[in-house]
Amino acid sequence: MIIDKKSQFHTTEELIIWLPRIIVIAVIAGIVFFLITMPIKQNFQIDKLQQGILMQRFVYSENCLAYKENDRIYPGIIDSNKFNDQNLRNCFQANNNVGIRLNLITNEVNTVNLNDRLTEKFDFCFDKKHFTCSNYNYYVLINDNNEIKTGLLNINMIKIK
Amino acid sequence: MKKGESALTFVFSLIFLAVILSIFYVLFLLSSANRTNYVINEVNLGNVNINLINYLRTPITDNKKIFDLILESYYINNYEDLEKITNNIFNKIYNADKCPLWRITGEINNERFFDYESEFDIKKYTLNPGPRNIIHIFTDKSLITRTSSLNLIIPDPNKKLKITLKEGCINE
Repeated sequence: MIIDKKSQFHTTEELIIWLPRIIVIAVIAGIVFFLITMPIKQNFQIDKLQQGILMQRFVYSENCLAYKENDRIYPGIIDSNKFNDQNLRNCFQANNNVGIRLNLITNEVNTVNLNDRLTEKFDFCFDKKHFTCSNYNYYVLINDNNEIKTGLLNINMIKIK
Repeated sequence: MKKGESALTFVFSLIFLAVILSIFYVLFLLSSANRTNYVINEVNLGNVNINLINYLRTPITDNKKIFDLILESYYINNYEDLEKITNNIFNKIYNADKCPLWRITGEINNERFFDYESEFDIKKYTLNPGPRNIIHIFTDKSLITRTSSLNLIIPDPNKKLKITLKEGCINE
């Protein structure tokens, strides 16, 4: 392909003349793009909300830990017989993205881990980019064969983002 | 000359490309900084505070619960036991590292008759005098508070009892 010297010179000259105009057009296009996309860039983080609801399930649901007597459920009162691995696994319906460690603290500490693959990773909670963690203490009353004791239910939760 | 002109065109094309890319990069950064981040931690609708309910129904003796002790303290005007037991319970529930704030108040006919709270250092959660203050108005840790109240029926029909618990936990 043969291009003569004159046309090459004209191309360069044209480019120099058009350069400021193209930059102005690019800036305007960019500003329009910026203004259009700005209002729709909203990010909702509901990980903590999800964890809060999951935590409440343990103290509110009769299928989890809530004590039930004569068809009445007592949210916040824990049936000591329900605090076992099998019952809590059934109640939690293992979610692969969530790991939970429950500590029932009275004179002694009873611990149940749900989803061991994740509960081993509590040490990585500092990595907020990949994990969301929650830790909350419920002050609970424990019905231990019709005897009421007080204690703390510590729920430690980790979720992969 | 042919060679020189061709090189000039090439150089100007590169400058042009660099300028356009820089403009879009700056606008992209500006646009990212404007992203709105909503963090929803909890929904309080119909959410009864288990800690408050359980506090009130904590048995002290076989026939006496904290709720009874509150009324008894009010009528005999002696709050010594109530203060001791309340501090003991709430300091155990809310440990100073994660939930440093708790405050419980009791009102009868809108008149406060007891008010206990944690030893809470507000300075930790207000303006940080450090140089990062330009960007972060608050420290990295912020305190999320939640207030729950219960209106309770007492034997005296002319009086209304209201117990309020405020708790503040750190959101990291």
